[in-house]
Amino acid sequence: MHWIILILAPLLFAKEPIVPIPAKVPYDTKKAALGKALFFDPNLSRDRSVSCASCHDFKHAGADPRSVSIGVFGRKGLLNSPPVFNAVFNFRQFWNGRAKNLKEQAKGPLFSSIEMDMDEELLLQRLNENDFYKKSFSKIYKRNPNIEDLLDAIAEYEKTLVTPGAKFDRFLQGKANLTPKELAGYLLFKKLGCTTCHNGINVGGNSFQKMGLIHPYPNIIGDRYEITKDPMDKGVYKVPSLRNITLTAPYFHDGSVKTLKEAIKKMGYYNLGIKLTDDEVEKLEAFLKTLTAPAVEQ
Amino acid sequence: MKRIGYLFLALLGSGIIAALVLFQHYASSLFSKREHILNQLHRLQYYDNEIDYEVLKSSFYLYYNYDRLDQLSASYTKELQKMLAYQFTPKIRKALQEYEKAAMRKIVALEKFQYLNSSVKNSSTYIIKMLSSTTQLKDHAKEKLILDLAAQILLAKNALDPLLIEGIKPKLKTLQSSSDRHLRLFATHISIFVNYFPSYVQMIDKITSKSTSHLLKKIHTLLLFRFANEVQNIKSIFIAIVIFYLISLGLIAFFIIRLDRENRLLNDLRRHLDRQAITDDLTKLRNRRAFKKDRNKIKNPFFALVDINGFKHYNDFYGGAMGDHILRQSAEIIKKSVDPGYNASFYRLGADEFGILIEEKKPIDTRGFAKKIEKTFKKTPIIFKGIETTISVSIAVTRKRPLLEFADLTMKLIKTNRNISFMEYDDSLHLLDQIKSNIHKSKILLKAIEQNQITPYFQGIYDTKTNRLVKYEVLARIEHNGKIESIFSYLPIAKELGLYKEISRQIFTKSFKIAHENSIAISLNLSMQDIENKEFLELLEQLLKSYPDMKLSLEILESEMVQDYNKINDLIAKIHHFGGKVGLDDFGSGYSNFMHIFNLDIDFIKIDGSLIKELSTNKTAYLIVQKIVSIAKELGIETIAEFVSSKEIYESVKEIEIDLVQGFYLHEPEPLQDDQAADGS
Repeated sequence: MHWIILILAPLLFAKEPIVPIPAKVPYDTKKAALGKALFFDPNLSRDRSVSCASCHDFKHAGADPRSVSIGVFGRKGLLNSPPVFNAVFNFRQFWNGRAKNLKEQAKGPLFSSIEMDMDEELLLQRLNENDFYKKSFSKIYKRNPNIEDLLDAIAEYEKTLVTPGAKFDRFLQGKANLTPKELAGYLLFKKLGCTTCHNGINVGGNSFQKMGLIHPYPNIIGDRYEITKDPMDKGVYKVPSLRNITLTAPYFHDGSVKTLKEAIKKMGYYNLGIKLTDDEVEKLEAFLKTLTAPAVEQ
Repeated sequence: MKRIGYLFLALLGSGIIAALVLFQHYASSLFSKREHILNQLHRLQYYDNEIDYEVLKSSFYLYYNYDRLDQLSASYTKELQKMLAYQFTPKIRKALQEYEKAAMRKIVALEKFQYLNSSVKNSSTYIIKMLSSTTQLKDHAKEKLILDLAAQILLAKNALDPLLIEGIKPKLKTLQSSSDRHLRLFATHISIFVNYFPSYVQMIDKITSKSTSHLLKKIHTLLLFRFANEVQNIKSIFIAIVIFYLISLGLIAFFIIRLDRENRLLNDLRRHLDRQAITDDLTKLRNRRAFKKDRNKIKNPFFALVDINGFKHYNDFYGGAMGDHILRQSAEIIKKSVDPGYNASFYRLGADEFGILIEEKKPIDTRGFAKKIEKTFKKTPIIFKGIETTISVSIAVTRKRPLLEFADLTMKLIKTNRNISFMEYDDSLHLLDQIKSNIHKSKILLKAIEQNQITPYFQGIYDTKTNRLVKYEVLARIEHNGKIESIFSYLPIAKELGLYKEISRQIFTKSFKIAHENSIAISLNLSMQDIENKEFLELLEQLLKSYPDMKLSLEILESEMVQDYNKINDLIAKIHHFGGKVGLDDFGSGYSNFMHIFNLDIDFIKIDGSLIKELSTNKTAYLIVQKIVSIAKELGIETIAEFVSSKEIYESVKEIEIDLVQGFYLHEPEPLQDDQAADGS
C-alpha cells in the first residue's frame, strides 16, 4: 500500500529528485506491537545477548556506531549495519541487495552464525518459552509461534520506523526555508552528480551503483558480484540512504569512515574523481544535515 | 405407469434446470475469466510501457528519482506472477513462459541500466563541466583534442549511437599520461563513458525493445483465438438451448391447440349429447325429459296431448317401418296444424303420444285448436310403400297442473268413449277421484288378501220346476272394516296388481272346504285368466282329488276372450272325469257365444242377466231368450237364468222353461259355515 504514497508523492515534487517522507505509513498495530517485542528480545539469539536492536541502535538512527557489528559469543561481523530507520523505503535490503524486502532481511541476522546464530528448532523453543508470544501469535496469526509469522511481525514493526519531518522534507513541502549554505549544498549535491545515485524518498536505496567508479575502492566485500557473479557487478552495491546520515556513522560498507566530512570527500574522490574544496564539503555537509529528522536526534 | 411418467418428467425437468444453471455458471465464469486475463494482459503491457518511458526519462533527465522505476519493476513482476497463476492451454502456456523469460531479462537489464545510466550521466556531465577548466591550457593542440573529444561524446550521447565514439580510445593516451590532474580526470571520465556507453545503449535498446510487447501481443492473439473457440462453444450451446426452447414453445403451442381442439370437440359432444338427451331420435321432436324441464318454465300453460288412435294396429299389421314412418309424418302434421304464432313446443311423450306446450298469452280457442289438428290429419293421408292411410287422433287438453297427469286421465276417459275424440280436463270430471279410489281399493284388497278375508258367499240356484235347491253359486266377497263388499269392483285392480290368481285360489280353496263340510254342490266362476294359469289348474286338480265327492260346476267367464278351444276342451274333459260340469256364463251378450257351443263340450249355459232383467217387460228380450233356450234344449245343454229379481221375471222364466233359476227373488248370497245349509226359500 505504501508504494502508492511513494508513487503519488513524487508527483507533487516532480522536478526534484528527492521527495519527502510521508507523515504516516499504514501498518497493522497488533502485528507491529508483537514485532516490537521481538525486535528488542535478545532471547532470539543463541546466547540470549543479541537482539535486532543490538545492531540497529535507536540512539544512532537505527544503525550501529561500531564499524562492524558484534554478534553472539562476541563474533565480529563483516559489514557495517545499515540503519533500520526508513529501511522500508529501500528497494532491496542488505548492502548487496540480496533480500527483496524487510521480511526476507530479518531472516539473515537470525540465522547468520556470526550474528544471532539461531536455527529453526531453537528459535521455536525460545518463542514458546514466552507466554506473551504464545498468546499474541495465536491471537494475531491464529496459530502457534512460527518463523513465517515472526518475520512478518518484525517487518510490520519496522514499517513504523520512518522519520518524517526532516528540515529538507519540510523545505520540499514549502513549510521551511533552507539557509543559503544549505541551499548551496543542495545545488552542489545536484550539480556534482550526487543525485544521480542518491535520489528518491530515501536519498538513495533505490538502485545498485559502483563504489569506486572513477578511482577503484580498495576494500570491496559483500558486493553484487558475490550474488550475480557478473564481472560488471564487481564493487556494485545498493546505494545507501543518506537520511539521518549525521547519526549513522561510521560510513561505507566497511564502516571505515568516521566522519561525514571525510565520507563526503572520499565519495567525491572515488566516485566523481574530483577533489572537493573545503567550502564545497561544508556546504554539502550543511545540506546533508537537513536530511536528519528532529525526532531521531532526541 | 403414470407415476413413473411423472417421475421421469420431474427428473428430466430438474436435469434440464441443473444443466441450464451449470451452463450459465460456465458461461459467466468464462467471460469473467476472460475479462480478468485480458485485464491482466493490459496491466502487464502498461507496466512494460511505463518502464520503457521511465528508462528513457531517466536517461534524458539529469535529475531523476529511481523510486518510480523500482516500483514499476516490482509491480511488473507481481503482475507477471498473477498472470502465470491462471490455467492455460499448453500452447498459450508455452508462449507465456517465453514472455516470462523475456520479462525477467528486462527486469535484470533494468538493474544494469540504473548502474550504467548513473555512470554515463555523471561522466558525460563531467566531461562537459571540465571543458571550462581545461580550456585554459596554452597547448592549442590539446585544447582542440579536448574539444573534439567532448564534442564527439556529446554527439554520441545525444544520438545514443555507439558508433560515434569510435576512435576515441587511442586519443586518450596523451591525456592520460598528462601531468595535469584535471586532464587525467578528464581522460578517466571519457574512458568510463567510452567503456560503458555501448553497454548503456545496448541496455536501453534491450529494455525498450518491443520484444516483450510482441510476445504479449502474440499471447493476446492466442488468447483471443482460444476465447473465440470457447465462445463458439457457448454460442452453440446457446443456440441449442434456444432451439430447445423454441421446440418446447412449439410443443406447448401444439398441445394447447390440441387441447383447445379437444375441448371444442368435447364441448360440441356435450352440446350434442345435451341436445340428444332432450330430443326424440325418430321424430326429432323434443322428448319427455325436455318436456319435464320446459313445463316448469311456462306461467300460463296450455298443454295438448295428441294420441294416435289404434297405432298398435299399424305396427302389428304393417310392420315397424310403417309405424316409424307414421310417427314421423304425424309429428310433421301436428307441427303444421298449430299456428306458428303460438310459439308452441312439440314433444314426443310416448310410443304414439305427442305433446304440444304453449305459453298462453292470448286465450286459445281450445275446441278450434283441437279441431284444426283433427282436420289436418284427415286432410293429410300418409303414404308408405304404396299403402295410403289416414290417421285419426284423440286430443286431451289441460290448462291445470299437473299437466301430463291430467292430460293422461282425460285421454283415458276419451278412450273409453268411442264417440269422443277431444276433451278438455275439468275438475268436475273427478278424474283424480278414480285414481284415489284405485289406491284406496288396492290397499283394502292387499290387506284382505293378506288376512285371508276373501270370503265366498253362496247364492242358491234352484230347479225351476221342482223349486228344489240344486247347487250354490260362489260369489267372491271382500271383507274389510267389518264391511262386506263384492269383489267385482276390485277385480281390475286385482288384475293390475297381479293378485287375481290369489283371489281365485282363496275362493276356490275355501269354497271346496265349506262345500265339503256342508255337503253341498257348488258352482264356481272361472275366467280365461284362470284357465291360462297352469298353477291354478294344478290347484284345481289338487282340490278335486282332495275332495273326490265334490259336485262341481264351473262357469266360464269372458267367453269372448276364448281363442284356444283345445285348452278349454282339455279342461272340460278333466272336469267331466271328476264328475263335474262346465258351462258358459253371460251367454247371449256377445257375438261369438254360439261359436263356443260348436267348439266346446258345454254342459250348461247361463243366460246373460241383461236379457233376463228385461224378460217380463221387453218382448224382444223374451223372444231371444226363448230361442236360446229352445236351441239349448235341442242340443241337450242345460240353461240357467240369473238376476231374477222379481216375481214377474220368475214367472217369465218359468214360462220359457229355463231349467235353473238364480236371483235375489229366490235367495240372496250369504256365507256358509259348518252345517249351515239353506233348505230352500
